[in-house]
Amino acid sequence: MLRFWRELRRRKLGMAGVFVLCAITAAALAAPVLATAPPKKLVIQDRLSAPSAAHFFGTDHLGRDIFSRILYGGRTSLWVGGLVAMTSALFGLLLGLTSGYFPRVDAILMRVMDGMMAFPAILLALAIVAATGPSAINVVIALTLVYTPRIARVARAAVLTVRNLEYVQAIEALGGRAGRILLRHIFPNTLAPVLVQVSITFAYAILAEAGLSFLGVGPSPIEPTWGNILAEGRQYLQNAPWITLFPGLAISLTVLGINLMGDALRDALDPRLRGGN
Amino acid sequence: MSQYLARRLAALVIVLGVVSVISFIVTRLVPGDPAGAMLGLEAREEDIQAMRKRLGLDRPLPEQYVRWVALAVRGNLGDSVFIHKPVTAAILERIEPTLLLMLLAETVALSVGIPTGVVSALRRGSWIDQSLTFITLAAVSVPEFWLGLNLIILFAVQLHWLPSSGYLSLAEGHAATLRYLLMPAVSLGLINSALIARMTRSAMLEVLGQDYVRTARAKGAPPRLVTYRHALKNAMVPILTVIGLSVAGLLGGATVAETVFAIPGVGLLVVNSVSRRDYPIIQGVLLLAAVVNVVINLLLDLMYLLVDPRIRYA
Repeated sequence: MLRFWRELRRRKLGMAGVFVLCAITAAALAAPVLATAPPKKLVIQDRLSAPSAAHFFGTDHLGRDIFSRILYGGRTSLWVGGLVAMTSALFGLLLGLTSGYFPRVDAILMRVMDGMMAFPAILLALAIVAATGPSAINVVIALTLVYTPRIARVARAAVLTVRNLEYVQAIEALGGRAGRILLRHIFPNTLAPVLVQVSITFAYAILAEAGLSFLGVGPSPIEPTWGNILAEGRQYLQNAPWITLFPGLAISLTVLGINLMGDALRDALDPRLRGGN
Repeated sequence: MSQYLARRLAALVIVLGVVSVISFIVTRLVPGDPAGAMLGLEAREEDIQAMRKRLGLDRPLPEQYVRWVALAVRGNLGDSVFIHKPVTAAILERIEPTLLLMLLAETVALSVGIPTGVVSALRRGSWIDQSLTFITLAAVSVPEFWLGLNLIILFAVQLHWLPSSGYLSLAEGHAATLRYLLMPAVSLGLINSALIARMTRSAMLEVLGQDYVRTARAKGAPPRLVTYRHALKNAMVPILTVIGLSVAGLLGGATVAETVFAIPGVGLLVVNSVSRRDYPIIQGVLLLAAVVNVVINLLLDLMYLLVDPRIRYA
């Protein structure tokens, strides 16, 4: 673990990604302190005003402060994205481990996973949220259903590479229990690729949440999210492009940060790419 | 080879079965009664009952599924609740812009993505490679709809070069159609090109490290020949896989792009159907998108047989 951290620290772009992600997360957490106005406060006479000292990122059509809305919106976006990454990791690992270790379960599970992955991610999520109703928890459930098969695939592949190695067969011959073998001897080998996939999922989930919000089936129609601030700004592209500019930048920067981190993670975890000692 | 085909077709049938079950279940996730949800809060009880009967919701779930599939394989996906048309007809009416958009976007994606990936791999570790790697990573981090909106601000609002939204069908004029599809195709295509570039780069690197490439270089073959004949040709198989993977992204991305640019295609139909609670449409498009994706990927897999003789004789 320590060596891994050293590997990661050597990669400047990756560290820059970690820094960006931490900074944005900190800003979102500190929203009540940093916000210059309550995110839902309407000041009609200030509507559609350009970025200024009073409103760093300008205001929207109802005179709400975009800077503050982005800070609060970040809470929802990061929370939803992070939760999706974690729940998909959990279910993906469970399914991937069982599938990779028990060939009989594998045949059925993987066909189901193939079927789920046949749907375009955003369309499947859209349909699920359309049916269950737009709410944060339904968005999390929908995106978890979308991304779990992808993580399960990665975990399964990792299991298959060690499944038939001598050390596993030796423990099996000694009468080791399946659960213990999976947990103690196989699970650690799946961690590296799954971790990389989870970081990709985190990035995708934030983009997907924003996309769903944009299409009108996001976590909340009332609370600000990066996606719905953007969606509301669509009518004002001509007079107030800042409404769409800043939330888009927030999404892109966050996702770029995660992707830089994920790329560095993959390099650091891949022994073939490790440069020297 | 025929054995391989048979196995692939069997897998296809199973996956399509799973796909149909999922498409069916998704619209049954509606809390309470879909018929009531579709008719709205003020619906009368007898109307709801009639709707339930019309949609077959009064039957047990497995029976509903079998009836739905039996009709679906014959191209009958039920009737839209809102536009009072068969779902298939509603989709067919709107398929032209969606297909054209996807085709154009894939053209953009491949013509930008593959050269980028090849250059990146050939100049591995150089500043060109590093900047291209960073740019592609940045490109996959940008929300597609935001890129689209920025294109509108630049090319429609500021420069007045292109229409900001809408669509003219091919029948109404070819050049005009292209003008309407240019920005959506570029926004969708550029983001997909980044994925293709990344995959092409790693596929090329893999191939460039092979013995036969070293041999070709050692015997003094011109670099250009080594790149195209020995390396790129062998990298085609993984690149085909990427094209297959990008189809799902295009299908989903087209939905978003059509919403951004108000293009009356299948994607916009689905998005509008959400607020109209038109579940048969959502279900039908969901099923169709998955089927298209699965079939295209199968066809690409079959193309491997043409591209790579090793698979043919295995």
